[in-house]
Amino acid sequence: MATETVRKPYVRHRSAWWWTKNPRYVLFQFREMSSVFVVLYAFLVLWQLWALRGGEDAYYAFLLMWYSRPMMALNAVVLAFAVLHSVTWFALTAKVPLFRIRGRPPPAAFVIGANLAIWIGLSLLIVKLLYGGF
Amino acid sequence: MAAAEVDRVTPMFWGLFSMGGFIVAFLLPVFIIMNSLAYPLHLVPWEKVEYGNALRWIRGDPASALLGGSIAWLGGWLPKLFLVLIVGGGLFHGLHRFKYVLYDLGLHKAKKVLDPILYGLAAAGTVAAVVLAFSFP
Amino acid sequence: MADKGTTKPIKLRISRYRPERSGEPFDQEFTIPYRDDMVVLDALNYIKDHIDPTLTYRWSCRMGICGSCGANVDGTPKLTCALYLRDLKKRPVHIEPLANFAVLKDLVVDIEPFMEKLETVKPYIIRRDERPIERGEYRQTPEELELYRQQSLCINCMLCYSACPVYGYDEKFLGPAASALALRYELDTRDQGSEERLAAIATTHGIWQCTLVGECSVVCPKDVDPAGAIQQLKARAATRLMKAMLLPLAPR
Repeated sequence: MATETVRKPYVRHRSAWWWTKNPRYVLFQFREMSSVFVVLYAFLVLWQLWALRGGEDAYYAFLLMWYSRPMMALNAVVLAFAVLHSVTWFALTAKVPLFRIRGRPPPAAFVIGANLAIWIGLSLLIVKLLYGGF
Repeated sequence: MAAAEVDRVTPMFWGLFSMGGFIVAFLLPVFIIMNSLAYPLHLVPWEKVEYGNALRWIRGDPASALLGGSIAWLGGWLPKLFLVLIVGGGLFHGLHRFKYVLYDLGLHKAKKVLDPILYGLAAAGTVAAVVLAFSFP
Repeated sequence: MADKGTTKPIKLRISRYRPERSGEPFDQEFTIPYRDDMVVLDALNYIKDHIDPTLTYRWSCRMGICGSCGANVDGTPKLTCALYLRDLKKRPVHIEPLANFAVLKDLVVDIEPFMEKLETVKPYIIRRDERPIERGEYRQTPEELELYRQQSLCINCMLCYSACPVYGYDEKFLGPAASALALRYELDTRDQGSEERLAAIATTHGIWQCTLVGECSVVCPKDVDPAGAIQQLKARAATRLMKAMLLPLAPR
């Protein structure tokens, strides 16, 4: 009686471009890439604080770079990724119900709407409070 | 199959990642606009962004004036706290997420090396933000 | 207007694997008669009945409840019994074994790793205080059932594991279905085993590996929403850890 087996499980290799096969995977990759730009901006702000510490000449030199066209383009890209993060983040928070209404979690539209309202409200508050308005 | 060890470290960084995520989501876009794009887009004049006013901004002048009275001192703290939240939140959120980007690219086996580097960087940046921001009057 | 009974043939490209004959899988094309009420499983059965009896695949109920017939069709994990050929645009229709699992033969994959993961989440009511039989059953109101009903609908079809990119690179990852199963017991008011269960899943390859891609919930045929389940588990585990650290002497 033969006791040998021909069982030979085949493990398939996953292509490095797996994420291009599906628009939701592509959105996921962009969403995760936003982290790179957030970190980059955090370090740019640290540089800005360092320049401010360095006195008027140092800060002026920093501003020349900061308001140059390439920097503007980069900051626009950072802003685009920041907004992408905000929008996708609010959609994700709808998945963790913090409270229940009559046994059911609140509808996703309500949670996302509430987040958007807070976002706009806080943004306006910051412009007013920290910057004294436009 | 032996039971795996409970991971007590990741949840802490996940918590920071979560809080950072909210901070970045709510506060970063308006900050980028005001801090980087408002002047080049002619939304605010040069007087608002030049050195003297930058110092006044970080001293909390608009806020102190608006709050007035007994809580005017809070105005001085607000911009500094705001900067620490943006930098700290952004770093702990972004580097945690970036860690998983690296895992996905095949580096998940280097977890023991990656974790201290990335979270160390986040901590260092946050400390730098605190020191720099509060070094102003 | 095409006749409903038209037999314009349809071509399928199916991944085959014969471990006893060759070391690699290969594709084979089949052309079969087509009716617009055919599902992919009908096509597979036709091939097996009339063309190649060696074609090997799993199926059972043919109505989307047993979870046996999962396969990757045109790149997406699907139940072959629930997918109409008329809804597929590409020709030939490409059928492969469920992604992220080792292939045993043709479209049959090794599901043992998945079965083991289900066991690790302790999928049974855990009581600290067992009531004697005479006291009767643990009763539950409809509202209490509603709390975990969504997570209880999982049919263990593994489409979510095929969709998950994290499982794609880390086969030790606990994964969507096992996590949803854990939440099903977490939310069950009769269960008192939070501590053991969370300890079992809050591990390095447990729920913390999830990066919320969300594709698992998209492909789930039963709307279990495993992505949401994992998020809830993360929040519960993190809260539990904070409470344990800040209030070490408080009752759990």
